[in-house]
Amino acid sequence: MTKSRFSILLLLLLAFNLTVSARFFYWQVVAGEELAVAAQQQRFQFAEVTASRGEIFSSDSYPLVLNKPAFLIYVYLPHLKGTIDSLTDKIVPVLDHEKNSSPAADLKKEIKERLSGKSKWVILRRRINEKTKKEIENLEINGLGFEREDIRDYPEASMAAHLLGFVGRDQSGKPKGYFGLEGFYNQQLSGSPGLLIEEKNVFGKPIISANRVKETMRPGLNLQLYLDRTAQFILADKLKEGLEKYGAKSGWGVIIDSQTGGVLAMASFPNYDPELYFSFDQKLFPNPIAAESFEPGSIFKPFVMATALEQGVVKPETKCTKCSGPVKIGDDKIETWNGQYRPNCTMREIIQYSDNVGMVFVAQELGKSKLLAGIKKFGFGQKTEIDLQEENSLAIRPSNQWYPIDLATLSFGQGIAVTPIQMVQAFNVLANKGRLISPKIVKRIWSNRNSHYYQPEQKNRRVLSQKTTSQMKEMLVNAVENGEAKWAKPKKLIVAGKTGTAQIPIRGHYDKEKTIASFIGFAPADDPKFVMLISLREPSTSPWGSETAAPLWFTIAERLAYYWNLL
Amino acid sequence: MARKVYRTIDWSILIPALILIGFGLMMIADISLVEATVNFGDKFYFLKHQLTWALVGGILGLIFSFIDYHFWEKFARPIFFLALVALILVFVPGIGISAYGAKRWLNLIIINFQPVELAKLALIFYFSSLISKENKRPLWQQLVVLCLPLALILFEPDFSSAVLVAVVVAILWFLSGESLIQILFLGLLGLTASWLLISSSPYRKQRMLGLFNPFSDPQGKSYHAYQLALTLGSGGWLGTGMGNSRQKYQYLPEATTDSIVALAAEEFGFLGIAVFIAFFSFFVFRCFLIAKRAADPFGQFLAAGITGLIVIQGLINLGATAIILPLTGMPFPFVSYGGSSLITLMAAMGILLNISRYQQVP
Repeated sequence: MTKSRFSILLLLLLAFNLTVSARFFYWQVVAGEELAVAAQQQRFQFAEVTASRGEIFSSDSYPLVLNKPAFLIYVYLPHLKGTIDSLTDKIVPVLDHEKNSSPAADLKKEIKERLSGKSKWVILRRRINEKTKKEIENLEINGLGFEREDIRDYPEASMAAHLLGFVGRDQSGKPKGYFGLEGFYNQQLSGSPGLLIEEKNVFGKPIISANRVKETMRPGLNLQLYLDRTAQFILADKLKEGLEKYGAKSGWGVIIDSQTGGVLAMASFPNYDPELYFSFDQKLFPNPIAAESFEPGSIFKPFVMATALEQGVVKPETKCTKCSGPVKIGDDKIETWNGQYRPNCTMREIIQYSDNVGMVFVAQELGKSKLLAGIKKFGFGQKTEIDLQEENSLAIRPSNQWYPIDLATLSFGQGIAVTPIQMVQAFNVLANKGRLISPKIVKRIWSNRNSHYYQPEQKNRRVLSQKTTSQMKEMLVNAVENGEAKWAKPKKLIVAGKTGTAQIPIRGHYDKEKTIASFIGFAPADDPKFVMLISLREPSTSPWGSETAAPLWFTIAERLAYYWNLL
Repeated sequence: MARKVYRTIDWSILIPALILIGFGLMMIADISLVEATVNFGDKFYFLKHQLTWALVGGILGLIFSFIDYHFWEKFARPIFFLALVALILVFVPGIGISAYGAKRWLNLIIINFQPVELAKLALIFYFSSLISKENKRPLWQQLVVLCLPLALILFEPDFSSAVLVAVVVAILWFLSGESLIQILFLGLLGLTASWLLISSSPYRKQRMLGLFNPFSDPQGKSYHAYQLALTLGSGGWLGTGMGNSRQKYQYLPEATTDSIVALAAEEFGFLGIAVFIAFFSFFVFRCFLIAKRAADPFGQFLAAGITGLIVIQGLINLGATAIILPLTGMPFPFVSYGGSSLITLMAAMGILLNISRYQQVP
């Protein structure tokens, strides 16, 4: 063995080891960071953990809106064995059981249309329930698949559709609340999805010891409402009955708790089924109570009168000096609703007889700026900030656009558009010792995880003095007690209220037959529990509020009085 | 030539070898946890097997360390013929076992035996005896002797073992003072033949292509090399720490065998792997010192051949791990999982230790 060759061999081996080490240095240190990132990318998988949507409960914690499992069924065409025809023939009879299904023939046509598109992955149907899913699974059709997507469940059916709103899907297919509470509180109800970063092995199975959650899922928050289920049932039931009885096209009713401003009941017809929202006309979605402006008519008079009392321009006993006949303003002539005139009648009587001429007198005594400032203080021209997504409010024209005739009609509630909820908010000022509280549907928002409560904020400000309030209240009680008794008032229940009949402007003119008939009031007058507004659009039995909305109001009030033990 | 008999063996090679085996067991326990649980439902399936083989190898090595190494000189020829017969028997149905598209095993009822392992030692014995003779045969005659087992090994096919055996014999020729030009010529011939062989088999060609660019087809042909790069890169300077390898989650193929060093590099970083290579180099150097100091030429060549067997395996594996040599499926000596390799190497260590007893101290 030659020594030099031995040394050469050792040197060669050393050189090789150094080369290998240098190569290791390159892979591990020089290119290391980049490669480590690539290695991470092949094992980390990002998964979104969907947050369950918050649920909605009545004031007595009874569920109004829950979640229930549902599925979308899709077909992946390359895996489909038979023909499209045989698929539809098999599947349609099963889908036909579904609550929202169209007739079998239409369904077949619809599904075939969907399948004839270009896409290989086609959604056949959404929102199918677990039972239908099982039945379809039992058909054992290759190429069909299901994806879970929870939908809303309404244990109380659609008794408060307009209040609740509905959950549809946004453009990216994620659930989203539209209208009502679902729309207003969409963010809170949605919660936020969690982001799960999982490390996976080469087969895609998670490396269990290495799970890391980056963002925890926050489930949607729950809503507890002021809503009283019994009151809601009474209101919805009677309103529906009243609509038929008086032949009205539509109607609404709101009941709020006088002290808290909380909405105890809210209903309007025609309405829709939030579970099957997609099969209804979109025009039905907005809640008219917050979204629809109407000319209130005589139910507006108390605010003008209260402003005049507050400003000290009149007292309840003040006599009207211009009430002996129709009042002329420019070319227009204003008359009372029945053509009867009461010279020197008092303010109390003006309210009692709903005297338009008397109201014009009050408005003129007040003057433009005080009158406009007064009605703005009652919250007209501004949103009430009720928790309904679709709330809308028309602004009050600037003061230089008010002409004498406008001020005159304003005094009896024509020529101004308000929303029903603004009416109720303003009327509650009279019930609530002169303070304005914004109405709210949600009492508190809470999470399942921790008992963290959040209470929605409410406006709370003084509008009238206590003295004015009690004077006005007395006038309204008098109007109910001594007005024409066209309704059956529960004897022991003292109500402060006002009827109203507003003509509906059609193409710039008022149609005498087409009216919105309303009654607004609160009870018991000495310690108000609730404020309620009932309006009927175009009642056909009689155009007058006193003959339609008022009797309906008292029917409901009587039931509520028994229920709340107010008698 | 003064013969000095040592009472004790050379601890400086035994202890590093035992450390390498211990390190291997540790890495196997760590890495195979996933695969063992998935495939066998027993977390320690691989560890238990490797331990058994280490025990068998240890006993064999102990016995061999007491057998005077001249025994192997005396019986070099019969052992060589026995190995040839075993290599042929692989192709006999009923005795030979075919697995993974290759015929490499013999069914010896109790254990499945790889004749190529016997052939490795037999060739070292035979060539050591051939070249240590005063009147040794010319190179071309030796070449004929080499070609017969080499052809059989290639025919199994077991390309990496063939390369290993050829290189070890080449080292022996080099050390015995054969003409450099002839050796280089043979080396070139071998490379050309290898290249022809590689391009004739799509399987080997893929591995070659993967070598030249791990990023060419990460999901296909260069998958293994790409995953090796990712594994090394994940280690960085200091590594992810013991047991924290992520590439062991079945991303890296051959985790416990060919790729075990790469996973060690991931867990212990570049610094860890540098220490490992230095340690291995020291071990190899100590082994070569035994060859250098062996009492007679046969002992020198036998020790050099055994050392060559260890070091060439190690270097082919390290080269493949560092992506400068093609992935041929070579386990790292003493560390990688695998019974045949471990038992053969431990037996060879026994012979090396016996040689070390007769060292001449300069």
